[in-house]
Amino acid sequence: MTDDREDLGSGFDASASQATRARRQELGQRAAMALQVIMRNAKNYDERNAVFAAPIQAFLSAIDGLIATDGAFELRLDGDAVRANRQIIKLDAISRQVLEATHADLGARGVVGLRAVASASEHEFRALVGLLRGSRRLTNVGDPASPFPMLELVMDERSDEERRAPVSVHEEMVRAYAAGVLFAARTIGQLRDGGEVAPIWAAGRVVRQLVDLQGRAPLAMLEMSRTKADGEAYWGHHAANVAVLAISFGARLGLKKRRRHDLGMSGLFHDVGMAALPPAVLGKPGALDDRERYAVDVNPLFAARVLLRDREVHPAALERALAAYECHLRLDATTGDTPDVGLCGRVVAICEAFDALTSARPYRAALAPQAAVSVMYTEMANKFDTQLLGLFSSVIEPLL
Amino acid sequence: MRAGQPAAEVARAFEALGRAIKRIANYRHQRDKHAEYLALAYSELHELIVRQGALTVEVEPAALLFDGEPVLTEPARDGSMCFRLHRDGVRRLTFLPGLTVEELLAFTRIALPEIQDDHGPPTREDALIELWKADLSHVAYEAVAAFEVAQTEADELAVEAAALLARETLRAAAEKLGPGPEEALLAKRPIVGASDLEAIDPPEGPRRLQRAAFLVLRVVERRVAGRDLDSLRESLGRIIDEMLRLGDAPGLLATLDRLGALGDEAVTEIRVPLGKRLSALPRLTRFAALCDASIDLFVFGLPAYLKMLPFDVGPTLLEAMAAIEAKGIRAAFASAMAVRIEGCRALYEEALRTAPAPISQALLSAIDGLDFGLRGFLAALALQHADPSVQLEALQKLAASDPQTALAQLGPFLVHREPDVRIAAAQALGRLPMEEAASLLLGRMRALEFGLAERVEREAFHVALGGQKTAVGFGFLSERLTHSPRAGLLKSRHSEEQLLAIRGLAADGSARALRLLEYAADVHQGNPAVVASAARAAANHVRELLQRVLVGGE
Repeated sequence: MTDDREDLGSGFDASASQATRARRQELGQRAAMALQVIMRNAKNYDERNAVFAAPIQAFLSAIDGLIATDGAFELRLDGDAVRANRQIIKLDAISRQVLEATHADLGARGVVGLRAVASASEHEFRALVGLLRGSRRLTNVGDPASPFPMLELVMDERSDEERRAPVSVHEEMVRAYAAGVLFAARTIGQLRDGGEVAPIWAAGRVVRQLVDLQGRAPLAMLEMSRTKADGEAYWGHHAANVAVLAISFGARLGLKKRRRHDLGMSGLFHDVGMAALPPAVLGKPGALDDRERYAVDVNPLFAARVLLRDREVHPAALERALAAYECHLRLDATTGDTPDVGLCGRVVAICEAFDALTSARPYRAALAPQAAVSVMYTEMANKFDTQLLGLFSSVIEPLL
Repeated sequence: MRAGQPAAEVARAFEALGRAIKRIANYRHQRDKHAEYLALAYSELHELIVRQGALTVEVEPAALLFDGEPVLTEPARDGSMCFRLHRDGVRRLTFLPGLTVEELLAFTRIALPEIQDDHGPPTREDALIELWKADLSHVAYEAVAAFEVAQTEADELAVEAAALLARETLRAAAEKLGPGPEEALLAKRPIVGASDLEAIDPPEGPRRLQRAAFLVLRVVERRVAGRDLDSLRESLGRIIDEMLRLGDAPGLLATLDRLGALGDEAVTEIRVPLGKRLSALPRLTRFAALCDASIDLFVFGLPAYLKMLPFDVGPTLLEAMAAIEAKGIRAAFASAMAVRIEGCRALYEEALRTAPAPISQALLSAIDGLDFGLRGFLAALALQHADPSVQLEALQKLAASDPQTALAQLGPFLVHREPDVRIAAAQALGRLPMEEAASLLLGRMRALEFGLAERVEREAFHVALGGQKTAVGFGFLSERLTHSPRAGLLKSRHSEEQLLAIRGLAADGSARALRLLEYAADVHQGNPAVVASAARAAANHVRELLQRVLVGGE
């Protein structure tokens, strides 16, 4: 039974180092607790009172610390989560309870947090306390007549209706899809720059959401794979589309959600090997030379390499690494040397080809879904598991 | 849970749960016992839930809280359940009426963090995803978001751009399709039946591991590993650990085979470091146990495995041998140790003298491939072993490898308390064609008590003496065969001495021995019939041998 209240677009930068995250945790907690003390005392004392000195100093030191770490400071109190520079701050139950009151007090003024780009002064902070003592709604600069030099209030910009309105399944789907696009695109981008894969465990949560949403609106999920983009944006959308198609395929096959999740993850990361190819090769309209051909040939191995970088060998980790390699193999039964390919590789190969064929590329126009299926059945037939290819047609029937 | 529920009852149930978790954590490999460990905790928890309704607890890094009070506390460290759940974003757990012991067990196994077991640390997905995948009907959870998709403004713009496109796609689809088809698709049954599905997606465990191992090796062989070589090595090591854990003999065999076929560069990059990893004691003993159950793995896999081990693995091999029952596997381990003797010389010597007899024997058998002089030295050390069976083998080895040392060492064993050892010592000396060796034998054979020894021992000494082909030995045997009965010696005893001399002369096998035997076989010499008959048979045997040698020589 799942009842988690996770939502995309909130949380913390999981790609930061452990030390950075620990520092954000420490400083964020210090700032949050100082703010709570300030808000509580603001109900009883004038902003010039000495009672504010210690918490203000604690808050200011947290600002300085986080600016030194991240180059910026932002403390947000959203719902039941406190975030420092977007990272969720872990709080014990008692702290959470007292901060709920702070959240409510700030929320009543339309404020959800505090931001700073440079060190603030105690004087400036006491001015803020003065403003918070009142009950009126504030603007992001505090008092427009006398704005803060360094501090900025983070305002809740949603209307009351927006705050109350439940997010529709389609909108959840859109957000999860967009997150998937970004994960895949960022991974390829970061790898191209010599960086890391976007945190796979976090991508796992996006895919989890896609799997859940597919169960609630399978047709919309399938339709979403029609979303196309060109240029550099192609790779992110292609990856997300393959994930969506693979999850839909798995659902129609009757696979358990564990396997559907494997398929989604395999789809999302199946092309990370593209990072090893120069953009000029990726978009080259003509034939590739030998060197370029070799680069294309080994890119599935590069994909497997980066996906095994985390040294994880649990089944899900191996599935996605294997699929990234195996989905590019030819399953040519006529040669009598059919490679051993797992389900994820076989499904992703089909979904990948379908999405690629129905997308416009620099070297050819997009095919209609029906035409793409025809090509897959004829010219590309030896690349696929024929049984699964036959089943795929019925999965994507609504798109034809 | 309803207000007013006594926190003490909840605390008691969770105390029991905490104890069960601790026990399961300590005995993770005894999976069949886990349900039993959990039984008491389950019954308390179940009773509470039935009586009071759903039970919700907050998850903290070092505790579960009920009503703000800790009901289960643990140290906040990697090995703790609360820590893992909290780290992965789980903040609240609710146990619902209908909870089964299987569900509680599944939950416990998910919540328990990864551990360093005998075969290395297994890796796991994060707890939230595992909980989600497990789909437990009566364990609900709430989690906080634990990631930020967009880290920069550019990311936010990219997400928004992707969302805009997707929104537009869905809007267009909704306009085209209306609400009906969605319900229709939701109602559709899977497109394949259960049996077809199993054929399409068979259980993958070992097969997946083997493919993954091959994939890592392919990445390395194709020179694509780059700066991830370390990670890939570690991944391969963990894959092999999984194979060991699962007892996947075919997977191990195929992977070792593939490792053996690696090119030179890949050997340095992956096989050497992997060999170091595989030399850890738990892995060695586990592999040995698997070899015991799989003949293929023993015949083909074990040599490949042992070959990969590093130069300094000797002490670990010796330690592993203590747990190995199968003689063949122990012998293979001993050979691997002998090959690396320069890395563990002192230990090898010590083990020859003092290790349990089966180990010392295996180590002794393994010295055949070593340098001639070293073999004799090691065999002489093994003579110091307290166990006669080791001494016996050592005597043979010693005589075969180092005559001078054997000569110096074997004397005392001719009067050993154990007849078998005395016989083995005589046989060992029998291989030394030296007058000094013959003198040693004769010293014992002329002693009065030798006459009291069992026939088999006396025969062994005579054969050994003959085998030496020495002048002094021949003299003794001919004198025993031809002399007249000594005064006071029984006739039958005299005949027995003659028969023993015949056995010795047959072992001598020389032309002079043949002449003597032919002489004794002559009925005119007055020897008892039994002696003449034995001499004749022995003469025939020796003649045949000599003819064979003659023919071979031509």
